[in-house]
Amino acid sequence: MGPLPSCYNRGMRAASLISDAAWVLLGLAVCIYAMRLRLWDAAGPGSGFLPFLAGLVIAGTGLGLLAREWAARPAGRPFWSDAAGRTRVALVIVALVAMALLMPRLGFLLAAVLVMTFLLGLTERRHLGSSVALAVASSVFIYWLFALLLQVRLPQGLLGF
Amino acid sequence: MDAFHHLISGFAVILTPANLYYCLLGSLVGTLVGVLPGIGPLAALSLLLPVTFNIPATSSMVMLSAIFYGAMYGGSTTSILVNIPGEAASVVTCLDGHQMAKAGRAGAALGIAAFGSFIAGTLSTVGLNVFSPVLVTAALSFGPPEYFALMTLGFVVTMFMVSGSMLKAVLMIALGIVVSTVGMDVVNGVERFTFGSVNLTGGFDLVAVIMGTFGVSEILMNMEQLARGEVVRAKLRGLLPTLAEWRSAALPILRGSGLGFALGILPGAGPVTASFVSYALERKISRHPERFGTGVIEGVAGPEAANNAAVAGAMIPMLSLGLPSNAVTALLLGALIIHGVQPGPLLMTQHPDIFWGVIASLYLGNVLLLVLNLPLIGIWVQFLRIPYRILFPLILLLTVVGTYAANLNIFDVWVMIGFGVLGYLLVKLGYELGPFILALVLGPMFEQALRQSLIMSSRSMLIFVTRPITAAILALCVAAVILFLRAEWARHRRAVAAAGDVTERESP
Amino acid sequence: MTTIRSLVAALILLLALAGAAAAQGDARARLQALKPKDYPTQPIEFVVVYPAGGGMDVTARLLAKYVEKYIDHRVIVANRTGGAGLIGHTYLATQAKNDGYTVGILVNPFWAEDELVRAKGKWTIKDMTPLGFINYDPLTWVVTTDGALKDRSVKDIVTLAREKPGTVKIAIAPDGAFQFLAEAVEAATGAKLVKVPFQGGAPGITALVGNHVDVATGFLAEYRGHLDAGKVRPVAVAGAERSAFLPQTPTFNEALGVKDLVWTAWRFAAVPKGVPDDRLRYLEAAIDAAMHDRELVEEYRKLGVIAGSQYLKGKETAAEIERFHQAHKEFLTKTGRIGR
Repeated sequence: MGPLPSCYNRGMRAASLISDAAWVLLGLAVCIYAMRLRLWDAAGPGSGFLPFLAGLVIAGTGLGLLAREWAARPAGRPFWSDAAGRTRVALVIVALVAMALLMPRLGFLLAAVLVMTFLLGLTERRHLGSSVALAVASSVFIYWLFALLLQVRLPQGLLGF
Repeated sequence: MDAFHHLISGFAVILTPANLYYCLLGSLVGTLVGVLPGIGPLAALSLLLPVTFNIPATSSMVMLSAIFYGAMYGGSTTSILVNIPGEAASVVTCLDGHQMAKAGRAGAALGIAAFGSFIAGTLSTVGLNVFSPVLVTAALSFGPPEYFALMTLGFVVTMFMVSGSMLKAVLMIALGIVVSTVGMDVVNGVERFTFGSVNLTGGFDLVAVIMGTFGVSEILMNMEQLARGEVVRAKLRGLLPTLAEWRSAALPILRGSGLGFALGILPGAGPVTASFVSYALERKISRHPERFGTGVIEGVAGPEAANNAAVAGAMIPMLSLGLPSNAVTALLLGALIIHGVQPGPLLMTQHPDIFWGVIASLYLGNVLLLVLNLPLIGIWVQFLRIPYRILFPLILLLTVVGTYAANLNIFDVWVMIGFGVLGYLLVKLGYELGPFILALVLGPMFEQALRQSLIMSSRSMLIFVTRPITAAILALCVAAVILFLRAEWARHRRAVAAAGDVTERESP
Repeated sequence: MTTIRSLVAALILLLALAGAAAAQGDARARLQALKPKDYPTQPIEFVVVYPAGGGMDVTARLLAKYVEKYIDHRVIVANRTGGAGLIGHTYLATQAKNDGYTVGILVNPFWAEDELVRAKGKWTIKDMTPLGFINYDPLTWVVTTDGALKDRSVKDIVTLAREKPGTVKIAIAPDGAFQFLAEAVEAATGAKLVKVPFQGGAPGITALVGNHVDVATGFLAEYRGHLDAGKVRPVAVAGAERSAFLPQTPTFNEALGVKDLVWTAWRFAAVPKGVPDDRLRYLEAAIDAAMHDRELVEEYRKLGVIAGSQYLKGKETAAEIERFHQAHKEFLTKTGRIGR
């Protein structure tokens, strides 16, 4: 997979504009939420005081950044270096989510072996056997380190380990 | 010197085979826990506390304290090697430490971190030894208004560590403050931003956020660039720091030690704050602040010294008064109580063996850790030779487990993932994460101190000017801000003059 | 003559030791008889909802140590902290397995408080079955021995706060027993205190010692070291009767002439509901045995908590918790915190 098509070249500018607008919205949302908590009460600043101020700052700086980005004329820069990179990033996130979902249900060891095999195969086409072997070795090592040496209670799955 | 004679008796207590063993064991576990991302000294201490039930109080304290400061030695390892902090106090070390590793100077960075930690640890132990009584009185005089002033100074100091866009940094600080308010308001118990989730009532776990924003995002960034000839690793050029590097690192180490020690004594501030402030200070004083972030030794030496010195500082109120400065020292006090020893002002006279034994073990432990860590440098740099495609799954898994281990709550892992994605996007868009984390750490203390002070003064703002320490620190803040603005204005005028010759400029 | 005396003393000591050993052996035998089949096969976990090193944590760890002794099986302590206990409480009431391997070490009024105010219907106190009472710790007010209030009694302090409202600063932990005690005193006497919030008792003691507040609220264990050193002095105890450790300190009820100023940390053990009967009884007996062990009672006494004066088993503990729950609910409704 090669570089992304040229329409992505202005990706960075688009992403910056979108994120700046998002800050403004976030700042305003925080302010509104903060006003529902009291801003000031008998004891001084209320629960909403600091979040309100911070929300204002977020919205204000977001606005400033938006204005500056809009006015500037940068050379086109893509947001992602290439499509392969984007896919890899997405897959790593998927792997992490999978780990968070599987660990409580399958137990640490099994979840770790599965996820690690997936991750090892992510970056290069390795022989499945060697990936699994490496995954098992690493998972057992981490298990030994945390569960046995440091006495952390890692989740145990259906298989009892 | 009375302190000296007591110290000798302390050494007599710990130079027994049993206590030496426990000191070594604690140092090893501490280093391990510091190296492992996510799991930190607090988690390790909670987990290993039961192990100490059947050993005498002195040995327990020696071992547990060793875990505490051992972690400050180990924490820099992953920060330097793979840009993932071993724990919260090593976040700043990532900034320049990893850049040094990329330039082939990993050994030097690790070496300076180890030596800096040793010097700071030893110097601060001397401070603990000799100046305890005076310092403890000074520490007690810090009440809520003084803390407010101190936290304000912390925020002001953040300005000095910003190397990119100031506007973006301010936004990051504000974001950090908002994120820090998630959870229960400590002043009145009101739930903020929890949206009905029980897990969020505790707020975001700091370790989970740091592992996400620095650990997971770092791996995501590297994943994106993997095809472009690997993560750049120049050939390792020598294992030890050069003479020039030593010379540059010397003063930062001393400054970091003093700064860390001072901040460690104050309950609330601690190794994390100390490391950030040290970094900002070094950058401000440096003649080439723009080089910070590219791999300057001062950016490693100062913070690493500061976080180690803060440990000895934190031990002062704990040993002298039985008052905890942070969660770790609170746990150490709990350990004393479980062993039937009553902490407090009388500890020194009722249990001199424990008091002076622990202090002596601090000296000893620092030596042990230096001896332990130096040869390890050779081993650690070998890790850099493992291809990243095999290394990163292991690091990722370690980060997940380390984050989970702290509270045994899978929610923390989700928080880590969420902040990982956020951190990755923010870095891509050109934001700095340092100010975000600092605001996250300082925010709660800042807010609490402000509101406590105003409650104490019945809403009168005068409390901030009538109390001498508060007024002094706030005046310092004002002076710092003025200095900063003047420097910025001068820089801006120079840039505008230079830009007059150039037709087009990229916006920052 | 002295030889005979020492012989007699030795004999008595021997008998006492033998008696203790026999009692232990007795308890162990009873426990063996109650032991269910196939249980326990893995470590039993005592869950503490507060950070390691604190009062609850120490209570739990000491109990765990002695329970271990009687059942000859591993008992570990796990801290599930966050949200001032809410996260741990929710975990115990909704997620923890009821297979007998998880035991919660809980404390009233914080347990009742969380259920009434913050659980929002997700769980109730009935989701946990009490096993037995552990110890209790009354709240106290302390002052420094070199500050402005050094010679005042609690009555004087309250009078001062009434005549000059807003001058007496007291350290409290917000939204809990600490605050309730201060408010109850204000309501009963018309005093107006400046309630400065801190994250628990220990930071309040620190502030007191630094003279940033005039009075601090806390449990004896939190300031025992300072008390022994003569740096602080408790002025009142929020218990039903005077504490054995502070015989000179009056109770709030005594000093202020009221009847309901009782705020204590009342600690007990409980399991998620639905634990099989045989395991439940085994655990109950184990905790009972541990609580009857004189060494444990002595260790609790060294902490300054009150243990060994009542032995409540599961059912009695449940009844007491229910009674307290009702009373607390009334209190919260009366002060407008719930039922709005």
